[in-house]
Amino acid sequence: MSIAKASGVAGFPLHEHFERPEQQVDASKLGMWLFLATEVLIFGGLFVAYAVYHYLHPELFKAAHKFLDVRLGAFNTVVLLFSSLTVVLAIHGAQQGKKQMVLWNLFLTIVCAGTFLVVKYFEYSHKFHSGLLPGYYFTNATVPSPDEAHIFFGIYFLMTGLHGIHVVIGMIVLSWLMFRAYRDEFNPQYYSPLEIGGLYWHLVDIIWIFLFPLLYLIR
Amino acid sequence: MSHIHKVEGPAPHVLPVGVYWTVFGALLCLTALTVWVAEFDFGTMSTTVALLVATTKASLVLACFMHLWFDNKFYGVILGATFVFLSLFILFCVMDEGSRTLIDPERANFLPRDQKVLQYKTDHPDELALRPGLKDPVKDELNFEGPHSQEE
Repeated sequence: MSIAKASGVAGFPLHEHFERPEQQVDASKLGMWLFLATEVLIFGGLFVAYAVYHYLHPELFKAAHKFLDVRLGAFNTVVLLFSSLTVVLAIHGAQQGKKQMVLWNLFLTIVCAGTFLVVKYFEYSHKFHSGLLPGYYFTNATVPSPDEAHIFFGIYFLMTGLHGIHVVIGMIVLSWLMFRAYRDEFNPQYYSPLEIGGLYWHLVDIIWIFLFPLLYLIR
Repeated sequence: MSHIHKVEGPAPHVLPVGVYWTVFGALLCLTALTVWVAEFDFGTMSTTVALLVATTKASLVLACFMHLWFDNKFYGVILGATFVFLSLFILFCVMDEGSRTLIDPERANFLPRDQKVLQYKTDHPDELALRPGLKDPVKDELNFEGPHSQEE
């Protein structure tokens, strides 16, 4: 039976290379956690760059971070935290077989991801217009120690940019999950894709939880 | 394509919805706390305080939203190992940067902390012209400031 034929029927779709449903769920979660470990290490390289440059230029980081808007950063933090809540509520709905709860919560999560990106767009365009850009493109003379301030904005754009790409990928994953939920592929016995996708979305949230104080709230 | 059979699946591990809303409320409070705390200057402790709050928030998301607390503990081992190696990565890089001014360029050995000398050596002859903030290390042999504290 193909996946297409298997969908829409209640029960757990057990692949032939697994013995028990629990084994299949564990295997998928183990794979996801290993993937999340590599994600942490990808961002880890950027956190090292941040740590070293912050250590070398503490005054520069203190001065340059004032060009970021704390209110927008805090707003985006709340938006992402709320989107994490809606993801777990979607899984909760799937556990109880409430299709509308799954669909609405996934929809709210996608709306939150979109809101996050719109706010980021306004932040980025403000920086483009003020010349607060990485490296060679840095042209803002009002920043204290302008010959080195480009370092902070290089790190800012790399970290938030990589995070932003993850948000876009998250929106695609969440839309796919919504499509599958719409086709009745999930039920209280089987909702692994929602859990796996949820784990990815929570990691995106956790990365931002660290980026927000490190970039916007420096003393 | 692999074959799929519909079987009886495991019963879901359901938490009360109130738990999720409580954790969300705690996360909002901690966000407000970290913004509020940033108003005060704790000196070098400020980053530590901010990271402590962020780690608490991340732990809440991991334990409750990501179900780590209730799941197979091996997932936690994977995550823990990741953070151990990430800390080593950050620690060694910062230690390296922090100890460079302790090395005597003449004899290439360590100096006591109070005898720090400027040991910045440039590979490019034009670099001093490109970076006027940087003093000539040969002329200022006994500059007691590190190369990075000369900006102001």
